[in-house]
Amino acid sequence: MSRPSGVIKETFLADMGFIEKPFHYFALSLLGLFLIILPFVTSEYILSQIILIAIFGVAIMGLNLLTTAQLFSVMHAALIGVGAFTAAFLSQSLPFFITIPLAGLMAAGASVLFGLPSVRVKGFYLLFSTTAAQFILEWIFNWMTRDIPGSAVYVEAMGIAGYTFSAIERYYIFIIIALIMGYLIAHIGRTPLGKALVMIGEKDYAAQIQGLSLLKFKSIAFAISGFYAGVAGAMWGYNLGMVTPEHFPFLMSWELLGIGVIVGGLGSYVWGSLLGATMMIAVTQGTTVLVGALTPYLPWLGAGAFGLRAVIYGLIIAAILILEPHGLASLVRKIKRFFDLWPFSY
Amino acid sequence: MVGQLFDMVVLGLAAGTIYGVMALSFVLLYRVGKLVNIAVGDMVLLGAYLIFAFSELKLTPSPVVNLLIGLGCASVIGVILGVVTERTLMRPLYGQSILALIMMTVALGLLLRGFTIIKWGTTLRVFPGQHEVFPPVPLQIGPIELPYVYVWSTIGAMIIFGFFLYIFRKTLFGFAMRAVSLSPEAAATHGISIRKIYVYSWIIAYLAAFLAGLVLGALNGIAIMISELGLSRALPAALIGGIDSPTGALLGGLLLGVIEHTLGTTLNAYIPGVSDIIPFVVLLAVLIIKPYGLFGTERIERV
Repeated sequence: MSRPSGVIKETFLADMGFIEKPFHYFALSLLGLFLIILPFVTSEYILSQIILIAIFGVAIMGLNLLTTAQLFSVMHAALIGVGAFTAAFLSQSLPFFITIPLAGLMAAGASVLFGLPSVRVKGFYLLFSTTAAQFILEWIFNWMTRDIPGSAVYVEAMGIAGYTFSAIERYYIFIIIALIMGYLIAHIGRTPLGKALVMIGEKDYAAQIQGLSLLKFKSIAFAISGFYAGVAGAMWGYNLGMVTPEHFPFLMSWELLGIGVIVGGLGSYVWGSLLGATMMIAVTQGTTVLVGALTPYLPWLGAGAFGLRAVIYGLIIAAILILEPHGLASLVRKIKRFFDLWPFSY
Repeated sequence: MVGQLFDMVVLGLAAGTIYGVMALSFVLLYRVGKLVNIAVGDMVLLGAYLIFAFSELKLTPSPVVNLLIGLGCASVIGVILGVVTERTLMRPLYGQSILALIMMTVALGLLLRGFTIIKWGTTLRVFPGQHEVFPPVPLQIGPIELPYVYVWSTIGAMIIFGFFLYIFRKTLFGFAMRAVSLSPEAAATHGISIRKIYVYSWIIAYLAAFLAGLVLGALNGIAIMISELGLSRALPAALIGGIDSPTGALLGGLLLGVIEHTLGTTLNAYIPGVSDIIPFVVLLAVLIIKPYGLFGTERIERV
């Protein structure tokens, strides 16, 4: 590990601080300013993408924590769905600042329930139990909404005491929620709990010998990541205004794990997750743009445009995996290391 | 009631053989390369469409021969696809984390499914001359009534399993395969080409999936939903038998078929549509009760 060049920490508190260098104050305030003035200068499209990044960023933060403990979960799309449906049903009678935590708790419950096999099975076996969980939850969504026309549950507009928020106000609320969740997960990573999860990830058997209760810590990890997924789901519901079962497919779970966590950066809870979410949105939007650009040249496609989307999407994922297998995080780490050591990089 | 149950069990066993074949496709890749192949359903889907496309050419007047020609041509494509998949998608990732490899099978699934949709659209198809090859009247063997598709699928599955198990257990090639699955490094030092083994296992996986595609296509009609059907049956079947055991795959498939056709059909009367998730409930139950399945190798952990 390298310490930043020319920065001298004199107290323990300063040493433990999140902000390592004076430059970070500058960068963070610039980012804050950027996020504040963004709605006034950009189009609605960019804004909606930023909101999506915030939503998926929150979901990936939880998944990142879980993956650090080597618990591979591919049910997170369904957990987002649990949060979204809970928020949708509760929003009819309760305000948003109550429904969002409740949605989180509901998803946490589901996550712990389906995470229980993780105590007995290890490594990639967990992919199977969570696959089962994904399909069972999806089926439950379909079953719940079978009597609703179009199987869409509408979410009441976000508001407080009769006042409905405008799109820009909603954007600020989403950003604030994402900031709070990011702040919390950054702290969780530094507590004994976070360190225990890292240890379980290294070798859970050894962690058990050292006196960690696997059942307890794995359940806590599933609960936290489920909570994050639930909150993300509630945000998703409020953002879109309605929730349908098709929005949370198995493929999305894989995107969250494969692109969001692995490409974004495993173990870097806040920035890695946000980077992963950005990557995920970029891939989806890039695919849409490419399909839109190619379709006029391929008139014989007709109904097959849907298939073209899958092909391009698959190609992009394959290209990312082959070209940048260690994730964007390693690239960022290299850049960071360069500037940490600058100007004495020898 | 007992007679009804007996019918259900027989039907389940017949359906189970084909689940076993899909599970074999899945288990083989896991055994040899520790690879969780999420694309197994899409391989089955592509197989169904390829066989459909080649038998649609109607090279001979007899529909049975047409279908066999379709299967043969699709097998050739399967061999090519196996080589291409291993070469272009999987090989660059060897040595990376296994999660990246698994993610690559997700991409492979997307590619196969996308290609299928582009080529053949989303309308429901049936094999040409299907009703002559597989008459809709069930075959009567003593007290048992069995649809023709199942008769042929059972025979086909038995041939595939017999052939594969013979190669895997008795021949030098199978021995090399088992060696690679046990320890790739040690096998490589003894002169076994790991890459070749990986290519062959992909080819066998494709062929098994294509055969399953023929049966699933004949049973349910050829449509995109075969893909999910394949995945949702192959995974539990493979896990029941123990994920790295080919024999276990067959038994797991049979067991899953029986459970699905008895429990699923019975429960379906009370909660419509519940039979769709029965395999996954079985999967969860297996993971909690006996995580390494009936025949899987139990991992002994040392620190």
